[in-house]
Amino acid sequence: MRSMIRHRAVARAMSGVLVVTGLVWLALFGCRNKQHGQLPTSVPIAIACPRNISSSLVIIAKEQGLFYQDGAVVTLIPFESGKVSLERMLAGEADLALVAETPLAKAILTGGKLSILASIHQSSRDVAIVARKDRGIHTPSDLEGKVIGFTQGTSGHFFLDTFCLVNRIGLGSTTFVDLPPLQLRNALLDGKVDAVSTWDPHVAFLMDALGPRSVLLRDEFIYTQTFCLVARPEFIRDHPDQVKAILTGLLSALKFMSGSSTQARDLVAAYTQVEPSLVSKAFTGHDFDVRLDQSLMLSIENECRWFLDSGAVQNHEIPDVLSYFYLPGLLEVRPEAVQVIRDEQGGLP
Amino acid sequence: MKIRTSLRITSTISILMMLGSTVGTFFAFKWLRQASAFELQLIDLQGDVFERTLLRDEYLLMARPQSLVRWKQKSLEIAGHLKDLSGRSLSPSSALLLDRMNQKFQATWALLPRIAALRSSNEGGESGKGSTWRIEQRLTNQLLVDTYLLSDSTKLLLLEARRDSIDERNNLLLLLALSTLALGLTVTSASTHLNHLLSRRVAVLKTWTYSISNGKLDYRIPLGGDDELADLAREVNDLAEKLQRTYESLEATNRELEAFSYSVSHDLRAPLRHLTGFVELLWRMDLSSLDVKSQHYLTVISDSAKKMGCLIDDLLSFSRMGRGEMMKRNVNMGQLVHEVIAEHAKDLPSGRFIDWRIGTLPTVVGDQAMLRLVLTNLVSNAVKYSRQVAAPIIEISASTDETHHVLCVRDNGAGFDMRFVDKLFVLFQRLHSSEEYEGTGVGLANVRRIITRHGGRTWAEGEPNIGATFYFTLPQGPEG
Repeated sequence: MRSMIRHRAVARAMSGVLVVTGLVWLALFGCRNKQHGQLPTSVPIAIACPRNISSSLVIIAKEQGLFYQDGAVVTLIPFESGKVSLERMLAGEADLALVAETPLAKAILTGGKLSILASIHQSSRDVAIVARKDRGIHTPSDLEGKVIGFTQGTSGHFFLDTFCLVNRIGLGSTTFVDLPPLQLRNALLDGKVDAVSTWDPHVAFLMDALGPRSVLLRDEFIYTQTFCLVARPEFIRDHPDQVKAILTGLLSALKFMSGSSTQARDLVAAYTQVEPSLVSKAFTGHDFDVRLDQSLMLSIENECRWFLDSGAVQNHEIPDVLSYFYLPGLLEVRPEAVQVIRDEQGGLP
Repeated sequence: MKIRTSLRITSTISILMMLGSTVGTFFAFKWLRQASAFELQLIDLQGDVFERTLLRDEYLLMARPQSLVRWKQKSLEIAGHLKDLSGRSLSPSSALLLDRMNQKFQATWALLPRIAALRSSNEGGESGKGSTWRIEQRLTNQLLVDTYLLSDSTKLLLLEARRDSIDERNNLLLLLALSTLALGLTVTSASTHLNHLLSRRVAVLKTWTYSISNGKLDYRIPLGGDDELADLAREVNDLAEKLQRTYESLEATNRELEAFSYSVSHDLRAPLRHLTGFVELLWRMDLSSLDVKSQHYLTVISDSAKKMGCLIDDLLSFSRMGRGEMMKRNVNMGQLVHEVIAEHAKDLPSGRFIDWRIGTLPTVVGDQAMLRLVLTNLVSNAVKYSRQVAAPIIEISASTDETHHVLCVRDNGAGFDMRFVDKLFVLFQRLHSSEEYEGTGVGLANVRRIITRHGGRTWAEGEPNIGATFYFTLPQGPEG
């Protein structure tokens, strides 16, 4: 009996120790979580978000409540392209925008007030030319003399130019038609153009819609598209914590994407209004990551030069692209993701 | 639970923990080595990527064909590295980085030869030179972009590998620390438990020993638990039970013997009184009619009757020592010794001088009359057996051990042969003849009986013609 009482006493003492330890842990972790997850502000952040596969991380973070979890209330404003998203942001209709490096280069050249927070997607397969076989197009050289649709000032435009250049397609005999992305799709389906230079999910949609009548002309080695999250400088200045929360949310989305790819696909499919199977196809070969690196700076500088050479923009000097990179945000949440050759300072232009 | 079982369980747990720790350490060390090897491989790869970039620049700037050849050789080395890495099990983020490295390596591997082909196709021809230059420019730009991506991905993968390596090292250290801690806790808790158990049980046994030695033969160890010590306690209790029964039986026998000797002594006194009475009457009569021989017979009868009377008195006195109620109180032994010496001094013949050396003596708890008798016996013995010595010295002193006062009476008298020391305290046993030294042999027997009843013991040391020392102990008790 005495032994039993002693055992009970020991058990009670151990339970006490466990309870106290548990409370201490709870207190510590409770405090940490509270510090980590600040209460969301009441002002929603508007992100101009094109219905592209490249927007996946932002779509997932918003739909999964990852931005909210990190202290940011976000609304997504859908647009049909990154180019339009950027234009609307610069017009003040959104705080942030998602855009490929081509419209971004043009905006920088034309004095747009913006800061690049991070690149969120990179692909050498996202942009391609979808052509109709029934118009005699089977190889790149068959494009010569045909009618090709594209959207001016977009990555599709730059890819088309490079593709034609590399494949020595005579520009004089070929007709180029500038159309918005959704009209491009219809133009190819209706046969108003023989080929279009566009990006996913339009590429996957057109290949699916045309079936055996289509041919995909792609050169993975001539162009890499980089999709970026940009913000108005005054937003960054006024809401540095929100910037941090958004970047943290994107990193959480990255984890979610690798852990729950089917759910991620469905969320992207719902936002881009494309069949989930097509999103799955489009996901292949895409590189989703949150970073800021030297290759982005170089791509923007190259495309700035292309805009100047092509006469699309009348300007004589390419600005210092590094000054458009907002480094403190990403440096705070994921320092190793900043691979830009620089001095220690980096911030608002 | 048995102590042996408990020890076996502890040993088994300790061995299992050590085995687990060894296995864990083995794997942790293996993983650390793998992580370190991976890191070293990536450092090597990073160096190759850097050298390849230099060779690319060398070719683009200097247009030396050897540079392109060496660039291709370096590319093949990198391809080998990437193939090795593809076979590894990587984390999702590392796998993504490796995938990106592969893509960008393939892109750069395709682009520079395309640029080289453009250059060679344009050599010597002027037509289309402008467009070729523009193509080369565009492809070179893309090559730079892809090279940066390859280089950055390698750097990031190396960073992850380094982090993994540090994690593995920390895991190994943590495992070792936790194993040591767990093992230490197990051993400490087991030894604490055993220590607690043993000290508790030993304390109980000690209490039992103390109680038994103090005469509380009915004391029993409280039983609890089912370990070996509990078994021992049960056996000890059984032993105590037997001891108590034996003691009670002996006590009963002793009481009977006491009663018998008392009654024999008492009953012998009446006929002896008659005998001595009638001999006295005879002496008062005119014995001239008796011849000398008959008168001698009467004298012998008279002396023997007196001696027998003394023996019976002593026997009764000895018997009373064992039967009488003890009146315990504080007794100042120093004062008692002085009183006893004073009594003896009165009886000393004139001219005889004894050197008394009395030390500091304690106050004890006991029956004063009995203790007086002890001292009287010992002192009178010392006086008696030192009377042949020219300068007799009698020394009475005391000391203490853990539980008892030890008193001793030492003289420089006749002493005794230690071979017969066992007979000293036995009733009616004497080492000297009564012609040499008078006495009945009851004194020391009485001393032993009194001291035993007080919870002490007696012993003696001696040497013929050198002297004798008698010791007795009395318990140290609370003084009233």
